[in-house]
Amino acid sequence: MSITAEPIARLVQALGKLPGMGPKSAQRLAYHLLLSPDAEIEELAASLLSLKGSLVFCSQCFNVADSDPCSICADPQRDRTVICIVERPSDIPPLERTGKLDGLYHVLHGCLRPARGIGPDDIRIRELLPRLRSGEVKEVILATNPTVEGETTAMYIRQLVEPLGIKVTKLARGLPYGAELEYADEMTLGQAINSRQEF
Amino acid sequence: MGSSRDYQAEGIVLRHSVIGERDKIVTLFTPDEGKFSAVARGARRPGSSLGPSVEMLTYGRFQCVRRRALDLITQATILDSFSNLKADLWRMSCGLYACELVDSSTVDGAPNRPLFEFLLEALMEIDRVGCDDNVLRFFELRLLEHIGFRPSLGCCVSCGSSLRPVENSLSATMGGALCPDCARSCPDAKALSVSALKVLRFWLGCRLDVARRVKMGTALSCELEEHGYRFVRNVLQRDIKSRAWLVRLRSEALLTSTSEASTIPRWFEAE
Repeated sequence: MSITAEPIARLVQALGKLPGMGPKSAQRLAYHLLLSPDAEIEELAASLLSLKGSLVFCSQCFNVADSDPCSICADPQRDRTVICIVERPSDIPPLERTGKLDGLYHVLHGCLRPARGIGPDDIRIRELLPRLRSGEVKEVILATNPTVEGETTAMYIRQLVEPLGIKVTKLARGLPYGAELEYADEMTLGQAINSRQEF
Repeated sequence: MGSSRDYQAEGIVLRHSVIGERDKIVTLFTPDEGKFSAVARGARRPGSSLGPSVEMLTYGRFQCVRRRALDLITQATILDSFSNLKADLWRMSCGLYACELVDSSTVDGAPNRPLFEFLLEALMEIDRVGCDDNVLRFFELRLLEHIGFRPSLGCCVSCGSSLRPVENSLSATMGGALCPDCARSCPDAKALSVSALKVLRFWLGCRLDVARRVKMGTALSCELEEHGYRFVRNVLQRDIKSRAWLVRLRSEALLTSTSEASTIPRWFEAE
């Protein structure tokens, strides 16, 4: 006989599959949900059910959206000569919040990870090339993560894009706002020096 | 004042994985502690002082705390970030291949100082000078030696007779060279040219900076590549995933001639 009631055990098991969620956290969350008002639970269940059903991949930028094309690709005010390449859909909102980018995006849905066998065919690099060959795009901004795998992806894309005569830029690397110089590592500081600007 | 649970380790970051929202599990290869994994809290946060130190292909000094499960990295100082290596797609891919080879051929908690020093030397050489086919083949060969699988190239591993200067064979399962007579009864024996045998013998006794100066044609280079990887594959009993990436980069470099890989002269050199 199981100590935990079957519905709770099932919920704990399901929550435990989420990234970063251990068995203890899953159990805590399950009991929290058990004690939550019915309306909140129903809203959560409804939003989970609609997650897969109502969302699509934008056929142009491969962002997750509720329509195809997504609101960014469909916006006639956006600058279609600039494409910013990001690893994940979740990278777009922080870039949008800056208000500095008014171009389009291309979501790779991952990055190259040679040691894990993830190559160009496993992410959406191939889908980028027809967009670039249209002749409309003048600049590609590489906004991959500043990690070894993100840099590998960025350098590989640069290798593909440069022969097309399109300008390739990359987000600057350097000191984060609010950081103290004394605690900066040599790599970050070196890149900050290389990317210094006239003031 | 540090407690007995605190310790310091110099090491190379072989790989990492993500844990939670901000943390990383980092696999370090160190001369004294061997390979081990530790948690770097907050390493994924922008501006984290640990972040750059626990990135792959970084040589650093790590202040750690022993815990019942995974140890904790509390502070880190970069000793060499291999910035030239990381600024070049081909060099970085070669570095990742070297790290994956070491990661696959070692077990946790088994120190191997010669292998650590060899990996560090190889990464420094790739960072300083670059990486060509000689470096990759030399690395595979000497890695086998450092983990106790040095190919036997002095005489036939089956009958013990001296190898004559004719086409002999190499068997990964037998662990070395075979004379023509013994090769007939060994199913995985592959032809080993006189030149290839000479190069392998030379490489077993020289340093990396000397090994890379050996000049060879495409056929010999391909022969050594085939033998080297068959040996590695046989010893490790698994494929090295980043090798497929290197092969792809090399083939695409032939087409686009824009990557650093295309600057490696021998792949374009006529036999």
